[in-house]
Amino acid sequence: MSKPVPPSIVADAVDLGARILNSASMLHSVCDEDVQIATTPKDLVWRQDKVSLYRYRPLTAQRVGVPALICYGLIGRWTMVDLQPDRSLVRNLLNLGVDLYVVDWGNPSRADRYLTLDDYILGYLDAIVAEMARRSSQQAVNLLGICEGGVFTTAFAALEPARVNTLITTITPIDFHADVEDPRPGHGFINIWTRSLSVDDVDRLIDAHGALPGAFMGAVFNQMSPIRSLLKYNLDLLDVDDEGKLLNWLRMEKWISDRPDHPGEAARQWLKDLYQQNQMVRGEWHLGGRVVTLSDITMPVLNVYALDDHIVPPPTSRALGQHIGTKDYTELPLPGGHVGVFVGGRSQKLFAPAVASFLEKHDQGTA
Amino acid sequence: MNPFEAATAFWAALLPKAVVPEAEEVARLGEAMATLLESATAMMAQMASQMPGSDANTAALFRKIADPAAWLSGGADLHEALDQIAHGPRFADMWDIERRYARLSAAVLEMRRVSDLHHAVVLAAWMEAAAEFSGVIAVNPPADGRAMMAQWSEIANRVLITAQRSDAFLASQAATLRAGVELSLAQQDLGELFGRLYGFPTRTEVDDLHRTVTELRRELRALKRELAESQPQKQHA
Repeated sequence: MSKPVPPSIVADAVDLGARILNSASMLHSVCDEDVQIATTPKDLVWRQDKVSLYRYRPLTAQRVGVPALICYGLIGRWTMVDLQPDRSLVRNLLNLGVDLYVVDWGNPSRADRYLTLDDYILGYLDAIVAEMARRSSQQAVNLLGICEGGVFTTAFAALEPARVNTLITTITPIDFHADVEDPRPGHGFINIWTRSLSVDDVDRLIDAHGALPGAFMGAVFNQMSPIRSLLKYNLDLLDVDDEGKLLNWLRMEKWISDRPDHPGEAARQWLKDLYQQNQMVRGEWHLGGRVVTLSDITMPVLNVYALDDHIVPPPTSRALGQHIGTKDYTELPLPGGHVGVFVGGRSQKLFAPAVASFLEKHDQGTA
Repeated sequence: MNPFEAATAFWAALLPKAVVPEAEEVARLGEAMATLLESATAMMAQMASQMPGSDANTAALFRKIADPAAWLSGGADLHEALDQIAHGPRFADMWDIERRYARLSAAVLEMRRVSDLHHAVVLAAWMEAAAEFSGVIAVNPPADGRAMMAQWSEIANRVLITAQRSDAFLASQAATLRAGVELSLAQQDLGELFGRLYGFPTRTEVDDLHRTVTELRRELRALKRELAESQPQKQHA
């Protein structure tokens, strides 16, 4: 006669079965339109080629006269700053009276393979800054760059300092080799991985695909937390026990899966000039025939970095302070990882108020 | 075996050894890899058998997340991405132009060879994780299936992250990327040939057009800026 099954095992099995049923039932009831991101109202105010500039509608009385531009990079998409109403840097800044714009680089395809970082920074970003200045009747605007977008705004601020009122960099790599100062396991893998390739490897990759495929970069990101990536579509889903949590999870998944291809020539510069050769901090990076000299950044700078950022390790961001030409330099370390600083509960309370306060302090415009 | 792989195997068998000298080596490497994977799978089954009494779903989930094969394919998205990059457009593979096809066959074999070598590095990491895991649960048996999975996840993640930063892993992964890119370029080379033969636009021609459009847009942007700067400032709307 077989032994009776212990009650604890029966209880575990029942609990697991209930979780699976609950997850399946919730997933079944969710429609595409339930999973909306980047919903804060805004208007298209300028467009060139695939690049669009939006201006957010105010949510309260404007308290900062000089407008601010949110500039994301070409890896991933800006929608992360407005993931959902209660996790939105955009909403938080609007509620603090900031006149806010965001640039959307569109969906680059192989047709855009010859666009360079020079085009993005000295072409599109330059035109956007001009448009914002024209609309607000200001000489200079505030730039808030994120990750690769932070490199765009930093380079622009170095080349066109008179047109930048303040520079805010967030989770931005500046010294691409400073990852060696962060010995935490898993931190800085992209830096190590890129340096494991030769210059020729990068050239051949871009030659073959005309782009840095978004799916490829997504795979590299997954490699940074390998077992987590393996578990998230089974164990994580089982732990989602209400519809609110499920929708939060799905919104994040929607953002993660929206990963455009990075235009080829721009990717070549990004990987070779910066990740491999670290030209920016060496004063050797050229855009439009001009050298990007970080010491030409003379406006006030706020540098926001994530304490647990494994993609852009803090030392790679904090290096900015050693190279710029202003004494008005502030660092804001925030709890969380690369994305967590934008969507995490703890950083929500700190991030936007610090940015708004910095902008107000340095506001020379008329609100 | 997909049609492309079948065609490659067919050609590899027909082509003289001088053209594809690595064919035998790749076959031997593949056999060694299969043996290694078999050992790892047996080790995983042994680990799974030590799961404290739990329901079938939990046991199945553990087998899934501890499966060494998952580390070689589904568990590592990069491999999928590389495979996708390597295989590329299928139509280009249908044509029979011997010299280019030989280059393509060699590229396929090289891709397979470096991929197996990379898999060996990944499996070594899996073995290390499995050995540590077996030791830990022998001393401290987990209370239930969930605890056992958590223990495996912690060890596997740590070991794999460490392995990924090793010179051996980075070198074999770079070699896989390189082989995938060369394979893709060999396929495009065939495509170029047939484009010219049959009169449809080639990748090079389309790229040339894109380059022209990009350069024209660049000039247009510069002209617009010059024009705007030369005009008195307009009042904003």
